[in-house]
Amino acid sequence: MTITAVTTTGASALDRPSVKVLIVAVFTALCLATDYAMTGLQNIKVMDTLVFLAAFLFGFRSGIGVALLTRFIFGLVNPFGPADPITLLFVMIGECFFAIAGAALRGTFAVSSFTRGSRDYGRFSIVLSLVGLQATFAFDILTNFGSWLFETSSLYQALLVGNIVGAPFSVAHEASNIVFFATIAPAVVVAATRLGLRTPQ
Amino acid sequence: MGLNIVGEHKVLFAVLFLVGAGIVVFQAGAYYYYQKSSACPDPCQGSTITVETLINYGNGTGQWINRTDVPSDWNFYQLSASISKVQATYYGPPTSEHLVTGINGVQSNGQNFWSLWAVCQKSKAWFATNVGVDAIHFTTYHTLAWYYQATNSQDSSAWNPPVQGAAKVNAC
Repeated sequence: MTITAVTTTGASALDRPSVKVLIVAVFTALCLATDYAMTGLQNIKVMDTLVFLAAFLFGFRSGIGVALLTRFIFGLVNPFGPADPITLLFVMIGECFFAIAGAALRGTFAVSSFTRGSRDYGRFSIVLSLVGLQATFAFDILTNFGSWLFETSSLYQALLVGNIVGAPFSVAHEASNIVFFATIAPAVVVAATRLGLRTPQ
Repeated sequence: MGLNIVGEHKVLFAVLFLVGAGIVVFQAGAYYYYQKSSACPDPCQGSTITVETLINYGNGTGQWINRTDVPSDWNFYQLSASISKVQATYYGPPTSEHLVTGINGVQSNGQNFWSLWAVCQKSKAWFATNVGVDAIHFTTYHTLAWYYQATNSQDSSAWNPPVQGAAKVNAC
């Protein structure tokens, strides 16, 4: 039995709209549960990896759904108080970068080569960690900028000040996401592919 | 088996690595500037300055504490801990900062929290600081306040200043 055959068999059920809604709900619940559990760890969240995986395994719309729902709920029901509308808007948009990264990588050579039976797990892991780093960087740049948008006198100043003041948080966020994308993401992709829990590209 | 996906797509991998390396360099630079900007600027070692601190408990009571012998290389966390009983959660590197959760036995909870304010020298008005307590040095601000207020929003523009009726600006 090849991995491809299993994937094709499982695809039809996973494409049903009701199943997609369930997938978004389950991933959102997972994201929120891990967010609240990791409140004590500043800017270290498994959520980004889960959003990426939702898009990678089940498509762009599923990933976007998980990203927007998770950020909206976590922004309003937050242990440090509800987010202001501007911050909420920026983090919701920023979280979509992980969904875009997942959906983009899903259609590339890396996945098709890998799921054809390549044993390059280590290299696949490096690819995921690099993609994760880039998506996280894009998120940090955007949200640091957004945090200072109305507190500085120019867009350039907001970009510069936001990203210098936010540097320690960005470093924690990016370093932890490199680890999560290099470890959790490939393991879940391998497991999901073998179990047929992946919609076709 | 054994497809070498790296070998097949060298250019794309090279681009991924180069962008990744660029990000690391960018963040290292930003972190360096952050450390440099939050360190005590020269000359600040050895001298002392005067700092006024208001602790407003949010229930109509508050106290002004004037200290004339504050070492100029202190940050506001060190001063707060020296003039009051501070409860805080410490986050290690890379942020290396304190989240103040209680002052003189009054704890933050789901309904209230301690917000941090300073008087902007330029506008002579209060503003909610954008940086944490450890990043506040006394080269820029000499009048500061802790204000125990209701948790209604993270949007500081909606907050009331720690002194009733005082001028307030959103940014300094």
